[in-house]
Amino acid sequence: MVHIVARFRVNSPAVIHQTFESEAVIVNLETGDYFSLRGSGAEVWEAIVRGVPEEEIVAGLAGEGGAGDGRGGVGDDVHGLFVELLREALIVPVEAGAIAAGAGVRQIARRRPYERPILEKFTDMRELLLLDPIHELDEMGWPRPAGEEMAGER
Amino acid sequence: MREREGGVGCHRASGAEAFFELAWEGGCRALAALGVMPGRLYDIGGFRVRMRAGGPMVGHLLGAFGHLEISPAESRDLDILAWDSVSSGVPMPSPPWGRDDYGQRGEIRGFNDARFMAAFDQVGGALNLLDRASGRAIFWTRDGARLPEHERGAPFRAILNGWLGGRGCALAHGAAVGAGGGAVLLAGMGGSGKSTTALICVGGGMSFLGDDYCLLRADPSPEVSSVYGTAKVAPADLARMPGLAGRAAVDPGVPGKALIFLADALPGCFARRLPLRAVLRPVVAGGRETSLRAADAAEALRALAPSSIFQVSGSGGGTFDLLAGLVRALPCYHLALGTDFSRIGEVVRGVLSGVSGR
Repeated sequence: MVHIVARFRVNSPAVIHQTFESEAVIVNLETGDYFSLRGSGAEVWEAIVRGVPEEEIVAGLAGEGGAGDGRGGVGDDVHGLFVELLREALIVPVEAGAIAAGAGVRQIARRRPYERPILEKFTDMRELLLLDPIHELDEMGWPRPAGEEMAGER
Repeated sequence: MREREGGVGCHRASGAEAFFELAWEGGCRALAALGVMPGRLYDIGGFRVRMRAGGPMVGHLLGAFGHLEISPAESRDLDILAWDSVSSGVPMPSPPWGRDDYGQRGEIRGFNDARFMAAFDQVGGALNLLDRASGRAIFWTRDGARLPEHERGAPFRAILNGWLGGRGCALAHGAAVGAGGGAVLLAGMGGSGKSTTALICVGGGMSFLGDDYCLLRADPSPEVSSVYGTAKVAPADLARMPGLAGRAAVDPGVPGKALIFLADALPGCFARRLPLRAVLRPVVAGGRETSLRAADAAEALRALAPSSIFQVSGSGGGTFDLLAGLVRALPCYHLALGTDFSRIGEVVRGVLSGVSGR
C-alpha cells in the first residue's frame, strides 16, 4: 500500500521570511501583505522551511513533553495553519520530483511547550503596490503620472 | 544571466543595454542644452557619487544631498545623470517595453538583472535606470518642475538602493540620530512619530543622519549613513521644537507635513556615518512622559522591514536579511512618546549612554 504524504515548501522567491525564537516574520512580495507567526507556529514554519511534512510536524509537536491537549488538537491546529498558509500563498505544494532535497531532515526544532499557532496578517503595505494596470500613455509611450492633465502639457 | 532580488531574468539584455545608452546620450544632450557644469560629488555611505542635473532638477533633487557634498575629484563610484524633457527640450526615447511590463513595485519586467535596474515611479512619473557594470544611472521625468514632494525629499531611492544593495548596504525606511559616537535608528510606519522624534533630538543638540530614509550596513559591524538632509514635519509640531522653531521655512499653503532642508535651518547638525547602537520603535502614546521598554527582534523587524521593502523599488530578500541581521545584533526598544517634547531627547540620549559600551 502506498502512503501519499503531502509536502509543501515556502513560496519563494515571492515570499521572504525570518524565524526568531518565538516568531516568524513572513512577507509576501506579490500581495504586499506581511505576517507574524507566533506560538508554536514559528517552529512549524522552521520545519516547513526544512521540508518536514505536515504529519511529522504534528508528531513532533505532540510528542513526549509536547502538547497538553493531545495529538488530535495539535493535528487540527497544524492542519488549520497549513490551510491558512496555503490560502495566503505563503506555501505551495511540492512537486513529486522536488521531494528529495528536503528528505532526511525530519526533526522539528522543539524549543518550548506547545502553544497554538497564531498567524497575524498585516495589510497596510498594499497601498504602496501598483495594483491597477497602467492605462494611459503619452505620445512617446511613457505612463502619465497620476492626476496629470493632458491639456497642461507643453 | 543571474537574477537579482526584486527582478526577473533579463530576456532582453541587449535591449536593456541599447536603451540605457540611448537614454544616457539623451541626458548628455539635455544637460549640454541647459549649460550644466561638470557635476557635484557627494559622499554617500563612503562611496563617491557624482550627480549632474539641469533646469529645475538641480534645486528639486540635489538640495537633499547638500550636507554630503565633497570636493570635486576625478574618481567616482557612481555617476547619476538627472534630466527632464520640458526644460531641456530633449525627449526621452520611447520605451522598448510595453504597458504590461510595469510591475507592482515599479520594476520593469525583463529589464532587471545582475547588471541593469529599471523602475518607473508611477506616482511621480520618474524613470530610474542603473547600469551597475559602468557605474552610471539615469533619472528622468517629463517635467522636472512638477516633481512630487516625495521625490524632492528623498531623490534617487531606487537607483541608490539598486547600486548600494550590491555593496552590503540597504536603504531603509527609518530616521536616525546620533550622540557620543553612536546612533539610534527610529523605525516605524508613517505617523509613528519617528520624524518628530528625530527633529526633537536634533533640536536638542544630537546629530542628524536621516528623517525618512537611511543607509544601513550590518558588516563588519552595524552602521548607519546619512543620505538625505531633509525632514518632514507637521507645522504645529515644528513650532514646539527647540532650535528649529522660527529657523525652518514652512510653506503655509502646503497641506500636511512640511519638507525642510536642514542644511538651511541647522547647518551644523549632520553626521555622515556613525556606528548603529540600537533600534527604537516609536509610538505616539498620549501620556505626558516618554518611556522605554524592551522590544524583541521580530517586533523591530516588523516595524522596519515592510515599509523599507515596499517603499523602495528593487528591495527584497537582500534588504530583509540585512535588516534581520541588524535587529538580531542590536538592542531594540519600544519608545512610547509623551506629549512633553522636552523629555524625548533625554530618553533617546539615555539609550545611547546605556548601550555605548556594548
